[in-house]
Amino acid sequence: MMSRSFVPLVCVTAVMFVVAPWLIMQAPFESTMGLVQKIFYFHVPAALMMFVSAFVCGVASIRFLATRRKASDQTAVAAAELILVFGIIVLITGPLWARKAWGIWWDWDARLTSTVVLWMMFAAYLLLRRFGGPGSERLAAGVAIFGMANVPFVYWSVNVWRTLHPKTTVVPSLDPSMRPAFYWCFFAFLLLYLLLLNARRRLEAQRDRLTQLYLTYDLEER
Amino acid sequence: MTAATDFDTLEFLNVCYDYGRRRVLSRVSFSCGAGSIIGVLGPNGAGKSTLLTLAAGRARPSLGEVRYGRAGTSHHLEPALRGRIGWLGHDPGFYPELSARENLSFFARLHDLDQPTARVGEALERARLADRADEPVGGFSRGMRQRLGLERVLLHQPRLLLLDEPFTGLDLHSGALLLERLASLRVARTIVLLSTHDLDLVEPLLDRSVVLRGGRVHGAIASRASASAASAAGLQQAYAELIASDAPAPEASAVDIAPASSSPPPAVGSAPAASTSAEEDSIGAALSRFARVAVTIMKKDMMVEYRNRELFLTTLFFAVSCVLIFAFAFVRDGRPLTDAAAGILWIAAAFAGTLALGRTFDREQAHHTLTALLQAPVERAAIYAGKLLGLAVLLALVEAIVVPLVALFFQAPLFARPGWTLSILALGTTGFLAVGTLFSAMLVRTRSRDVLLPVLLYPMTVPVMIGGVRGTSALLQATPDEPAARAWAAMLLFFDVVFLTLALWAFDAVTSE
Repeated sequence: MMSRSFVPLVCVTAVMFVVAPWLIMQAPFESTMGLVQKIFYFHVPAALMMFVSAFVCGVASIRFLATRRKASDQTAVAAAELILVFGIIVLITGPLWARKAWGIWWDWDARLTSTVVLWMMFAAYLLLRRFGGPGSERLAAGVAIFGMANVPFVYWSVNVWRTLHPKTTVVPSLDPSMRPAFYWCFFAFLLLYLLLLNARRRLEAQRDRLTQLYLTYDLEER
Repeated sequence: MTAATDFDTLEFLNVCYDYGRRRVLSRVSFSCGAGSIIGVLGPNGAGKSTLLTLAAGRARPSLGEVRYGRAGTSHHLEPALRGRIGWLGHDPGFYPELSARENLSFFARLHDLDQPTARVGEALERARLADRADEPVGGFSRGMRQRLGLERVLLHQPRLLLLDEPFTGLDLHSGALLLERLASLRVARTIVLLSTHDLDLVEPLLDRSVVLRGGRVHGAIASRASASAASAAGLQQAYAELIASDAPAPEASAVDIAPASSSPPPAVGSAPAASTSAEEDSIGAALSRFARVAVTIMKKDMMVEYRNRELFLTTLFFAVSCVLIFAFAFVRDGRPLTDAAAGILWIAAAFAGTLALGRTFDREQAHHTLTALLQAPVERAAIYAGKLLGLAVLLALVEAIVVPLVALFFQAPLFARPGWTLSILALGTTGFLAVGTLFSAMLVRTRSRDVLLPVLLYPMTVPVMIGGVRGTSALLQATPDEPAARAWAAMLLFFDVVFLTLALWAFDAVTSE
């Protein structure tokens, strides 16, 4: 059963996403990139959710390995899937922006490449769960903690290398007139992330409950 | 290690074990006491091996618990308690390249036994293999290996001995010798749990049998000696009748096999402990033991490798092949690209390392020695550290040949700053192996492990690879860029510390069955 706040929160999130384009339209144009910079309001929040999700997956995996609580594993797998979902948003919006801003779809760039690598780490996590057989959730948890350890590397890569990608100082130094639209989008994405995480975690819990029922039924049938 | 971990009874309390969507064991409850030899019988797939694995502490029950007297339970199984348990499967688990004496000595060191040489000598005598003690085990017959295997698991005088189909493939004479040795364990008051299909053979040995069917206790069969003359049927017949009946026997849910007597366990003098409890408790002693175990495992791996050279030769050949292929690929106007040298060196090291990582644990699994290693009363992290050290030595040897080769083919000044080159190589290799050793160990029992190892390993080690390539590139410039090399070395060191810490912490959890 979903909690009572789920449906109202879905409505709030939907309203926030409906209002977001209007707020983005109100924000001023960036002086050099013009209209295409507006993609920033979706690209950056999605990337931040990807990083948050990697941490959630890693911490839940540590908890699972330490306590063997199924709830932690359910959170970890939900977060891993969301890394892929938000990662795809980042990896689609990024090249769209790059084509206009840099004149190319893709370039060897530390941030671009390390983001793909982070996405691949959690794709590998899900592959292990899919093909590792029974007990693979523990092994996948071992993989997830290394994925989490790599997040700082991806985040600070733009500061270490000379790259085309803007540095991590972009958000703190954002023009005040652009901030309302950005933070609105950020909280819309955060709400969406939390709702999806919660829904997916509940689905995983239902699946585990079904497995328990199956095991009991299997036993009675013998 | 002895007083606190001695136990006189073994109890299964409502034990359930789930494997995926299958309940392999369901509400299994029975107990047995010191000096009893209990048969665990049942058709294939009944859950006998799983029951023994749970008793050995290599897996935790999904529900319920296994209780080892007052010494601990399956949910709190300390390494010292694991050291009071012996396990022997139908394959005894030996390194075929090592001699019988070397194999026993290795396991004696893992168990931290006092007077290991004398104990090993006695074990070889008991196995009737003293005259062949220095021959490689790979040349032994099935019966010889099984006799030696039994002595290996009895080296540390376990309180509980678990035997999973130990008579499989043995001829009558070898089987009789094994029976004779098992019967002698009654005197030492060892609890013996024995799963087998050779009912006629073991009938005189068993005190009582627990019969499993479909993961449940289906009934118990008393031995002929303890049953009344009228009801005494052969074990084979009693088993066949019990299995044929659909309903479990009334007493099936809780079979009690009482201790033979309530006298205390053997005196400490005959027990294997080498250290006092006070020494065990100190952090220094624990670290010293950790280092000893890690070095013991590394030495064993080096010895095995020295005897067969399998990993070294295949890994080296693969690394050299990589360098040669890339040497052809990265040529412009008939001249090699010096800029490519660093990348090629690390690609060759990573590919060759992956080969070695996969094989080192596959080999342990194939020889059934991984089970014996995991059963040893040592911190699992020490096993990880030992395997990591062994692999590091192996890869260092390979790199000692591949690095000059890359320098030669690409006319790269790799030795302009030898100290920095060595540091970057050592740090990068450590980071790669830190993750790889853990992943290789945890994947050894999974399906598709050959495919999954590179799929998992390469993305995770990207920071290490980038650090290694960039650091080496900085040293290959016309004027070596030492500040850049130092910065990359610092990053590699940071990742090494993070990866090693995580791997040491996670190894125990991910290698449980």
